[in-house]
Amino acid sequence: MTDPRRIQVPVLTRVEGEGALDLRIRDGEIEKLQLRIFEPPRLFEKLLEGRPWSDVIDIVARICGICPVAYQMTAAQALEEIFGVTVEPAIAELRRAMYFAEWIESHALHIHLLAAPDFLGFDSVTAMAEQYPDEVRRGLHLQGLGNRLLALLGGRSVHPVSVCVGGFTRLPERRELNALLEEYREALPLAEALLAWTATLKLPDMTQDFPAVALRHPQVYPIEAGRIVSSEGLDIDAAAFPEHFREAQVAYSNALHCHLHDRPYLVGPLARLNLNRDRLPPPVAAVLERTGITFPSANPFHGIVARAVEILLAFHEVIRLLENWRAPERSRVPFTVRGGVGHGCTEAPRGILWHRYALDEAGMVRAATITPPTSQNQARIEEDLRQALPRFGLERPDAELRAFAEQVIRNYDPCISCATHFLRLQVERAP
Amino acid sequence: MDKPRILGIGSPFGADRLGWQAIDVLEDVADWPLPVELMRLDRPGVNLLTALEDVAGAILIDALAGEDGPPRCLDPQNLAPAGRLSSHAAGVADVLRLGQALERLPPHLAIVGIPAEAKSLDGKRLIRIVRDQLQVWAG
Repeated sequence: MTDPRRIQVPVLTRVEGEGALDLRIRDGEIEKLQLRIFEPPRLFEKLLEGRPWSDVIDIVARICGICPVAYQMTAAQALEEIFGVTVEPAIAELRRAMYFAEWIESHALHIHLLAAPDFLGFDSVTAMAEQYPDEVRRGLHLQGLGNRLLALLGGRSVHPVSVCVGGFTRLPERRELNALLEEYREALPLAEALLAWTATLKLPDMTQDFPAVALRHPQVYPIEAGRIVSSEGLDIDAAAFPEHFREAQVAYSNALHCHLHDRPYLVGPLARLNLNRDRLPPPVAAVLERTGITFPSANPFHGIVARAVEILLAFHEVIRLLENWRAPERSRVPFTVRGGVGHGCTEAPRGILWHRYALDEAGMVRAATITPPTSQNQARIEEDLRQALPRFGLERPDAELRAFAEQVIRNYDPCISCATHFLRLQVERAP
Repeated sequence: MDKPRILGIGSPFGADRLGWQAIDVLEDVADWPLPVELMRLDRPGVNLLTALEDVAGAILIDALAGEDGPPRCLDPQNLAPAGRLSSHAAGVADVLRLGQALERLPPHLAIVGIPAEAKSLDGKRLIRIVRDQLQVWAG
């Protein structure tokens, strides 16, 4: 047996957080592959213990700067289950629109700042912008519209403040919605063009076998509600999550690995679209069909197309929701605080986000569990690399290997601050 | 020049509030050489480019981490991009480079840094820097 060759690679760029990828290659095969997350745990769950229920939504919003709405909506859902609150339809519609605004912003940033530069061979969006200025301008325009709707409905776009148990602290004025609505209608052709453009990108052909997990709603494309389903027949409500999904510590990482029935699985836009293709509104399905790319897809790199589909979907849904929206008489329904256990599960931009809270009779948090999408995707990222790197060619020069590994990882847009940061790549291999 | 925009970049927390505190100081000034529009931006990321649209001139005010002393002008060309433009992180220098590539920056752009380690914000110095810049633009 030959000795492994060891190669030091510095920092993986354009990924949120700090960690490392250790790769050891011996005799032309991967001997060890570990995605090491060494950012210290942030301990939000322990931070919540002993605090009143009323602190929860504002605290969990701080877990992530790009998907705070996901954390707020999921926590609200769990707390509303405990208090027996059913929000009014107009509130549910506004929450759905607000959540889509977060998808638009997050997906547009992923496509234009991470994925497209990778697929077009640029090291950054700044370099890409010199050759593709119109595409980058279009992307930033769409992202900006998501940001503005988020600021309107959430009170501000970074860590919004308006979502509360039972509804909102403030509802928007009709004139405020109308002004944005017009811009959303005008932007629809741009969202369609974005989807068509992502379908023309030369993506690696990388078919893989993986279970997909997402929410599924009886009528609409899932975001703020639904049952947890998988491509392998799972169909459960949020409370049953711990019976099927298991989080476990791995010695080399500060983030937990989550498995479904002892297997890695995929969450996020591709998993959602694979499981909910039939929930797309007809106009979105028609634009997707014209691209010639079919879903379900077994190519993880089709995530960029799935994100563009979801941006177009989000524009259609926001327009539908806001056009028909009538302000309810009250912005939030009254409720009585009581003890109990509640669960929430919603579709964050990067996949399902699961919360569980136990409150005592005074409404103080006795236990909190938060399972973010990135920790669910971590084992899948490792599995993807194990499949993708040999097909890419382990004999290739280190620089190429490193660039491809980074591309694979960035494709998931892991939020390591949520799961706990990223990435140095260290390769050891035989000469 | 039509109403240059003065943008305080920050957030409600700690030293990051300095950009907003600067706007608090500037709001009390009535006799600028030009009419100005004052804005507070909350961790704008790439949305900074939107705030820079449709104006001929803009002054950005942001905290300078790890530095002491009075507020000072910075040359936009000398800002070091962090190189971390990602879905989660977009610093002012990186966003300005992107804006330059997209030709979306105003023709006149000035940056004022407020050292975060200073014991207090030197409002008089800040007003003088802004006034001098506006005077140049007013011609």
